Amino acid sequence: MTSAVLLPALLALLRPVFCAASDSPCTTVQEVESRGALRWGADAEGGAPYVFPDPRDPRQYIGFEVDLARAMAGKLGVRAEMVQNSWDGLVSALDRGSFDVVLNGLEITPEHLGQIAMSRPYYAYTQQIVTRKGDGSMTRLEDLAGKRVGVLSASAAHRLLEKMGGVDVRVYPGNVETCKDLKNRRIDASVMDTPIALHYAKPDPGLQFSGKPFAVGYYGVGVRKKDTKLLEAVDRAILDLLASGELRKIYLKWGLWDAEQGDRLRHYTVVQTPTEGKVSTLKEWRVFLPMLLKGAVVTVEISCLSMLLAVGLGLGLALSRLFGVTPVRWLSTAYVEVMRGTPLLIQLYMIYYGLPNLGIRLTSFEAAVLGLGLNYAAYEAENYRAGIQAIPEGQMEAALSLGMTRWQALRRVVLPQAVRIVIPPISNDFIALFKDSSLVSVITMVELTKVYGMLATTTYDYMGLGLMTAAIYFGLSYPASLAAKFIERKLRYDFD
Amino acid sequence: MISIENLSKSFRHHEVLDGISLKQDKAEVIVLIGPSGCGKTTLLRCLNALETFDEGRITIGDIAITAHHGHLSRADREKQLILRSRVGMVFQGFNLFPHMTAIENIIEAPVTVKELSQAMAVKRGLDLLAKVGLEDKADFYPSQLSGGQQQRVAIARALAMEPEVMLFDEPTSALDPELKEDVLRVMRELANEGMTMLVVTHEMSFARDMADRMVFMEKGRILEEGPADVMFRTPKHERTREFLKTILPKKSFRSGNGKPPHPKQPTFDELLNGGGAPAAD
Repeated sequence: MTSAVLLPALLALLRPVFCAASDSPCTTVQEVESRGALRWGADAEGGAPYVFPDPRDPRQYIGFEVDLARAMAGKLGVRAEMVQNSWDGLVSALDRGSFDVVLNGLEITPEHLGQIAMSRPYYAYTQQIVTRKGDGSMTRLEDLAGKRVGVLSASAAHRLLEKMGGVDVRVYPGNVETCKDLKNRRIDASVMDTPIALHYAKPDPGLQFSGKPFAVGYYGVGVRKKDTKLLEAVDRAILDLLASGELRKIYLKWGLWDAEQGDRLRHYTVVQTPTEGKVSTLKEWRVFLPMLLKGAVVTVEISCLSMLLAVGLGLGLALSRLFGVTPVRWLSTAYVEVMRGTPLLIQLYMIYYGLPNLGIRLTSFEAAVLGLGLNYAAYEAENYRAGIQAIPEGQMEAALSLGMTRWQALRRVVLPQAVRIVIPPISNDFIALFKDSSLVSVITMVELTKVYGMLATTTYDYMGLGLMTAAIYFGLSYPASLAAKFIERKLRYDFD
Repeated sequence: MISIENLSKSFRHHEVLDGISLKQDKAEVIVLIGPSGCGKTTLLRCLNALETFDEGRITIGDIAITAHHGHLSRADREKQLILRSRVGMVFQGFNLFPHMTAIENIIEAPVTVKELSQAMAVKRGLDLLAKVGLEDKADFYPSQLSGGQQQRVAIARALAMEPEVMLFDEPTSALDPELKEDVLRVMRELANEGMTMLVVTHEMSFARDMADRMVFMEKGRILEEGPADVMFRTPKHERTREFLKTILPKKSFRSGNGKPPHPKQPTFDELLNGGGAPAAD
């Protein structure tokens, strides 16, 4: 008797475990029900008005998609549970099973349909050109030719402008940065999805909407292809919410409702033919390799220039730390400790987006070189300091006793010996910087890793592109380390 | 040539030099001896301005540097640089520049400090290398030379600045016995040519043969000074006698393994008797 009671209970407990294994007979719908929560993937970073931390209580996420997810989950009879994931990686993370659905401004496009299944649309968006207040010169897409135009990375506008060509497209990681740079005159205009434009640009007194919205597109809920049951449930939920007026209420609350919205959602019939899901970029390397190499050129330029700056400034810092008068010594010590003790990413943000507030407006290239250079100078200073201190005191004394000044002794006797000692750690740092340079994509530099990211999120061939990209990185850094070894041998003077 | 007046220096509370006064004539050779820590190296380093001093005055040629309460005037600090270029220093550890060949070591200061032309400096440098018996080692790096050869290059390097005074800080004590003699020979030649030399050494044969005067230092003071043979024979202080005993080879050592000690190194008894090994040259 006891077993008759216990067995179903045990099975109920075990069910989620069985379901976790793929191709198991039970569906994601059952899994969601047994869990009591619909896990939806989204990126809350710079995610307003879709999903973002509540400014009044940052532990809480708000946004029209938060309301939507809650309403949709309610229709399924469960809670909604948000899973944070970077926007670029949402589709791949869905495939990996990090969450049940993607609900985060995912456009219904042939590319997405090739990879995952998508629900009927829950919002019809358009594109809006945004310019500085009083600039009416760009009201149509064609007006943007030859102009510097900011877009959100991997957005519909990004694809649109890339396809159009002839536009100097600047890719941004977030919308706040785009608006900031537009006002700072680093770009001439921006093209945004209407929800973004309504939330970020509309309230900004320095910006204006230029021309009419165009290029209607649809956001849908992303679901794994095998989860047909879940897709049906989601579609039903969206129709229900639309019919009951709940959807309208949510959009009105966020100022996103427009006259055509209801009709567009109701009469959505366009079935987009999915393109072939996986592209083998390795087979089509002739197309992809040149694009990656273009990014590699930027990577090399930035790395070499910033290392030059780091090596020069680092030497100055080391010398002033070792031989400077007390305040100078104190200052250079403070510089080294602060630059080493704070993240490069924050330094880059401050240099590129923060300095304009002080009237210093650098291009993204300048900011990238400066940021990396200033950061690595701190590390090079420490390398030099160790190298100089490794030279016996007797060398300096012998030089001084010959009547050389301290500076002459340093330049002619101590530094040439120290250089040989510091070549291995400095070349090590150069290779590290070379890879760290991928961080500058946050200030709109499109370098090798960024190109990889952009291509991978459209082709989904993370592996093939990754192999090519890694090969390029290695092909550049390995000769660099060979060159360092060669120079080190060349400077050898301790013969046995 | 050199005049040291009432020189004092202390590290923290330790009095390293305690009122040293010494005069040295041109072409005079003075050998400075004393137990380790007696201040002889510090005295040499003060003369070459590698070390500052607290009180007193140092005069070399027409340059005088005076210290009061550990402070030098700005003008005196600038004089230190000139002083160094007129005073040559030979270190116990050679301190050759390892990244330069022998000839590059020698021409470095003449070219950067005196702004001599490269060609002129090399010509003089090769002459100096010949003088120390190393004309065939010009393009060797220090790591390719023996200790004795390195020290001879170091002497040539100091001479290249044409100093008025040469200071030697235990120039042979880091060398194997068989390598010392080459260095001592160069020093003897230099003394014979009339170089003013102040030498800290334990090589008593050199002291006996070449020193015009010997100075014994202890605890930062000059305990006694005088001609070498007089000090060997009749040291005024018991401390001097004890010290000389410790640094001179004993007779028993000589018969110990049947092999005589280095031929140029006389025993204490030989020195006291004025006999022993013949003087070189």
